[in-house]
Amino acid sequence: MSDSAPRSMFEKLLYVGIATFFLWPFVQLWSIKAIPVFESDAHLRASVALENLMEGALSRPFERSYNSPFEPVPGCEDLGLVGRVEILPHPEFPANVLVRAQVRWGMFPLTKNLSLEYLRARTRP
Amino acid sequence: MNIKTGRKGITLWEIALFTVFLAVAGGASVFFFFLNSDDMKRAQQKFAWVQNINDMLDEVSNEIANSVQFEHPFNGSSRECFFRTAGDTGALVPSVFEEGFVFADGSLTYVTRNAAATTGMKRLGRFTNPLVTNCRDGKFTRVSPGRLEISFKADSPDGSVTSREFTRVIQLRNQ
Repeated sequence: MSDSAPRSMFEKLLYVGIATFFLWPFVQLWSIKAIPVFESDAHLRASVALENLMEGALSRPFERSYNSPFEPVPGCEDLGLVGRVEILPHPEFPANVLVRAQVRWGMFPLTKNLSLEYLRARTRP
Repeated sequence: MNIKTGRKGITLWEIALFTVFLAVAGGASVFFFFLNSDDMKRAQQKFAWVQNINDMLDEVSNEIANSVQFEHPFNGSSRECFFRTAGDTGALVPSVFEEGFVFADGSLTYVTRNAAATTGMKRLGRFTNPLVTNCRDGKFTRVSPGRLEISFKADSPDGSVTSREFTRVIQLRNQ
């Protein structure tokens, strides 16, 4: 094979494999929102805001809400943090209610979401 | 000179590859210097401080949320809170013995009180008293019958962060 010959499909696949091998851990880190250097403080604040949302939702009487819009979280405006709480009857267990809190921040291609779910009895003990 | 292949010198492709490797190595060494820098260490210390306070607040929230009877800020807000806990057997501890958290002298302290006195506890979980130092404007607010809000502002020990605000909402599970 001469030097100027184009790369064969096998060699291209090899390059893709090598690149994937190097980049895959970073992709995984990104997907679990745990890149250690960047924005760990923002992540921490978002998780605390998420817990606060959930605790607030649990302490209020249940009202069914599904697909409610995201609203800005007070105190985290500088992050652009928006959150929502959904309360719906559990699809499988009719005696239970599913409470789901979500927060979201970041610009479109790098948006991050955190969500927390809580299962409760329909009537309090 | 290799007569068989007729190659001479290095090709453009090899130069490009060499440049790429050089760039990666240079970038990596710059990045490692950056990781070792003072800025990064300070950022890590700040993050560790914030995370420590949040872990402590987790413990405090857990303690308050699982209290059997929440006594003190019955409504409004206060610099201290008191509640009755369950004993190890699950029985309610007599009402003269209460536990609580107090914002005093710029710190948050875990205390117990009985009919005679209020005394500081040794520790809460892995956190020793005082739980937070250098904090201001600390208050416990009873937002609704089932909800308590803790908020305070704290300064980091090295002074790099001032008035960082911490807020926690707690659902009082047994009210």
